[in-house]
Amino acid sequence: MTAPPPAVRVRHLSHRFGAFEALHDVSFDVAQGEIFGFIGPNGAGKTTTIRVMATLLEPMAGRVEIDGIDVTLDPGEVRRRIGYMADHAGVYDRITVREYLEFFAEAYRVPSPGVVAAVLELTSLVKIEDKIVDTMSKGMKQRLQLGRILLHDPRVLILDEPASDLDPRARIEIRDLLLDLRGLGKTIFLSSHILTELSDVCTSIGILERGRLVVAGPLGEIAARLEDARAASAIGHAPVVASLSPAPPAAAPHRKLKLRVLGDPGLAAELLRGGPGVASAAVVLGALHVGYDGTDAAAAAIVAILVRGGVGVIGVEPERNELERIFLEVTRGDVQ
Amino acid sequence: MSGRLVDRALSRYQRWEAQPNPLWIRELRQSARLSRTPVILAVVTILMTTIIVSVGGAVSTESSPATTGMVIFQLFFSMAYLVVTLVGPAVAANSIASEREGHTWEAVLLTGLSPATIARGKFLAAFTQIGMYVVMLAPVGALAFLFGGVTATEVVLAFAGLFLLALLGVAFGLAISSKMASLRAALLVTLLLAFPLGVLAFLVFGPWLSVAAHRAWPGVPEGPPIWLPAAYERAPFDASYVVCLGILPLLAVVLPAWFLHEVTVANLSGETDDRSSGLKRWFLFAAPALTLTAAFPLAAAATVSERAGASLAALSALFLFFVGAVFLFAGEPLGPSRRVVVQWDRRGAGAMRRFLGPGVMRSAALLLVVGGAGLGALAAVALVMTSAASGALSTDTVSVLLYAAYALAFYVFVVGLGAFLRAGASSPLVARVLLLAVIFGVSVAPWVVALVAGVMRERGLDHDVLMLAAPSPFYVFAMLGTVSSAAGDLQLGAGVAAMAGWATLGLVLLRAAGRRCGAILRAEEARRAESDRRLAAEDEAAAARGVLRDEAAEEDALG
Repeated sequence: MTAPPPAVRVRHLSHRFGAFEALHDVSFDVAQGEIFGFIGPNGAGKTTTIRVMATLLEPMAGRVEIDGIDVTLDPGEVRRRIGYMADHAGVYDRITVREYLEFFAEAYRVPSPGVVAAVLELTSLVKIEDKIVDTMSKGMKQRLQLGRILLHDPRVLILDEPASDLDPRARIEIRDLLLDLRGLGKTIFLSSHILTELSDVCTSIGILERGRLVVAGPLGEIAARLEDARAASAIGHAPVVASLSPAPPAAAPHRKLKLRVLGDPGLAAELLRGGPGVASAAVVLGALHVGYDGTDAAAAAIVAILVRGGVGVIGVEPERNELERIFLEVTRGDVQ
Repeated sequence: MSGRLVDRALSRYQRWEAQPNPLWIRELRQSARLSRTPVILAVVTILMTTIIVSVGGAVSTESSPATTGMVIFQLFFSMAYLVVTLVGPAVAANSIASEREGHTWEAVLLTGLSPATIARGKFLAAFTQIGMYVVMLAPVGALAFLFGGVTATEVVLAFAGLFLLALLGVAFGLAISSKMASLRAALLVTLLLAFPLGVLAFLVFGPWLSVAAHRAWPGVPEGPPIWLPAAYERAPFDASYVVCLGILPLLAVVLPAWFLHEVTVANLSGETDDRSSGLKRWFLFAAPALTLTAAFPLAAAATVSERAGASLAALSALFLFFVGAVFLFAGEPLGPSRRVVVQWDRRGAGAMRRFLGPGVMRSAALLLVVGGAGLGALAAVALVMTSAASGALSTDTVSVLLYAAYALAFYVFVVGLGAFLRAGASSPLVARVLLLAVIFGVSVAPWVVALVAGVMRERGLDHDVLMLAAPSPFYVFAMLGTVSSAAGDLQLGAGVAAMAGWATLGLVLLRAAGRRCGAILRAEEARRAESDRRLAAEDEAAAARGVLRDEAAEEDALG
């Protein structure tokens, strides 16, 4: 049995703007039904990649396929399969929510009344369907944009910084909506430079830096590969990120844990100081913050020291989430 | 054939009625909610009414009602012309640029609406808006009819003309707007161009042309700007009526409107889409139409010298049109994009369709063939008409021959230069600027050289020195001055040598452009083939890995 083609396939994509190389040999796949987080600092080439995927820019080299269709050769067919929400996309003034969606439904040539009603329902915009679009909050406008790109029932949603400039509540609402859409079988390609925004929803990621893809794949797989690479590095093998990307090797990772313990956290800190791999141990606002060098095994050893020392550990969490850790380890952090 | 056309038109109308352009409907909804629209309409109407009533009242105290009616008629439609030629383009300029500035453009583009549909929707929206102005002003314009001096038919015809002008104004504004990224720039450029062009067109097609119309049909008043409605009613119906009041006005509306539509559609299309075919189809129609139009004054000229003068004027006008076309097509890509070629293959596009597609050399060939044929045909007509009246080797005939030959030779050079510059330039703008600079240089520099030589020899621009200016296309006028004099042989010889030089240089540049384009396109094709080969190899390797995995899975399952 053959596997379904990837929803998005980017292969050896390169693009220049004059002398500036915006993208260099970028390749990655996004499987059907994934939420793919496309991460990178401003100017890394995220929007250029997205514009190629959305048929708005023809690549200078390489191939991009959406659902197996080449975006260069058949942009019309690709446009029927994607829903693209641009960064800072605008809305029309002097038009109501329903009229806005009806306009796009007619433009997409989809049967208007039923579809528009369904989209209003899905995006929870029914209550404000007669409101003038221009008077809505940013969060509501983003919802409306999401509604717009759902009208023609696309298989792939491409969202460029969908939660930028939104307040926390609107961000949470958008995130929940994205999870709902994934539940409906949509593949979601999500670009952002806000890692916390992506970490809750993404099933796979791609990290772009200075026009080059540093790493791409399922989040767990990348974390495991980094862990393996780190372990290999610890015993004198290849440097940590050499097997993942062309980026230079990072320094041995310094990681931090936040622990909540029963009893006096100061005593727990004393217990840890000088332990294997422990670089620092301090109490901040009642929580024990431990700095250490090493892999997840070192974190487990720290907990074991505390347990052996009779300290009740009631919570262990990394100071940075998995995505932030991966990002920091594989990128150079150059200003772009 | 005609039945099929009618069926197609009917089905298109039914589709349009059932599914009106969504952009048009949306913009109408937005306009309906704009509270300032009725206010502006009311202010314009009140202002026009006040002016008309004041002037009409003042005139009526000293003139007959018929004269008053005529004055009101001229004043109202002159002002309405101004409103339409300024407001029409301004309203249209707002439409596409505002989508770009408001970041809504890409969303519209991705719906799959074709650039032509978008252009139609925008056009209808802007035209409806300017149409509302004309309709609001209609009662004021009808006042003239009540006084007499003008008939109801003339008033109706004048309003019809106003709608046609609005059509052109809106098409003009849209064409500008489609190129601009910012609303302010679109408005500024549109108004800066629309105002002088509108005034110039008003003066040329108004008072200036009314003199010629009065000469042709004495019933038409001489001098007033709004004379065309009177001409339709008062001119006798004959061949000149059909040509001058039927075909020529129709061409004057259809050709620019079609051109502006194609420019808009091309600007709205992607860089790698086919932006050329529409404009080339227009050029294929416009070139013979304008050639025929240019030949018309030759037939109308009464005397031999008038006929020779009309021939030179017609050749000049046609030459300028074709040189303009060279500038138009100087923005062509080197060749059709991969996307365009794939679309051609899918649709089974024939040789003609592909010939009219994007590509520098395709455009150069089209310009050369169509421009050469147009100039040649007009020259042939001019030669036949002048020689029939004054003899085969009369001064007039030789003058027309020399003028046509120089125009043709220089045109070949301009086409070759345009292709050569585009083949090497980084952008269409660079190619166009360089083309303009070179044409200006070769037109002026030889005269400067001749002048300097004359000053140095202290003899002024005598015959010997004048020959140095032969490479300038304006030298042809110097040649015409020496046709009848025996001393001018050397000058004529220099001119003929310059013609041969320009034509040869043009062909050499064309060949060089062809080689350059060919080399670039072949290199691009090779790069693409290499990329395809690499991707195909990766696909094969991935497929082989998949087969191995499946086999291993099968073995696991069995054993």
